[in-house]
Amino acid sequence: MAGESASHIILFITTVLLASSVSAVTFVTIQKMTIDLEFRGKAISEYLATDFEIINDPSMIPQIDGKYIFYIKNTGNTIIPFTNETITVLINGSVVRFTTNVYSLKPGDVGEVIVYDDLNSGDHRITLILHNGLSKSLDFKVE
Amino acid sequence: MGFSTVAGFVIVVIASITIAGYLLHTLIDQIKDVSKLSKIENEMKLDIKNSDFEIVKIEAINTSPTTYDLTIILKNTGATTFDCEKFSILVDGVLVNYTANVSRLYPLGYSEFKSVNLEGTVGSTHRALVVADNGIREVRSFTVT
Repeated sequence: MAGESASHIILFITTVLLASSVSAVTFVTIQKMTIDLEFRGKAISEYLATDFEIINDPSMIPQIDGKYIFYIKNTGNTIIPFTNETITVLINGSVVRFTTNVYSLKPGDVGEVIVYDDLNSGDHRITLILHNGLSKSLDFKVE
Repeated sequence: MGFSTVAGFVIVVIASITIAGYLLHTLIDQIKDVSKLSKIENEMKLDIKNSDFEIVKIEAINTSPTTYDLTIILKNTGATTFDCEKFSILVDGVLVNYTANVSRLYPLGYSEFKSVNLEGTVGSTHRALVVADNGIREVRSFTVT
């Protein structure tokens, strides 16, 4: 009789431990999933709220001492981080060296991207890629 | 044996309900956020579709042998209101400072933008590009008189 009670207690404790372990593992997995989901949700939200335009006159790109100036206007609803680390500039498909005149662009603001590149006269294409992958291009002409 | 099964089952059920609630709460929050921003994005697209303006007059009067003042009059030909401070004006490809006579340009309304001390002689021809806050633009050439 006492042996039967002991085995019942052992079985009960084992069941409780097993159920708790399964619940804990499931909870941790789901928690990781929700954190990931939250992160993705935030990234999507940010992407949807971000927009910009390269507003240069395509046939008159300002040039000072071999540097070309491109004007970027924030036409979205979020602040755009605007540094060498957060944006990428391609001209005719190749990454080029550049600097910016501000660190961030508030909605409606215009920033400058100063590109150091020798461009032959003719048609070219600049592509600007933001930190979140949003990109815009402008076809322009150099006289 | 029977009590152990019931206890295990109760623990698993309570944990499952807690997890489901947690997951559902996060999911609903995320869906709400994304749908709100999707709505904003659609509104922005609609805004661009309904926005338009026209350069109705452009005048460049010389003020010294090498400089001139530029006056641009815009008409809002769309159905949305523009914030005049958020326009960008480029003359010969270069961003210039300006002042506007009104802060908001309402549908069918007019606004005067002035930019002073620009470089150019009498008879020289230039190009002005006007860009609104949502990216829509108009370009016009003009001669300094």
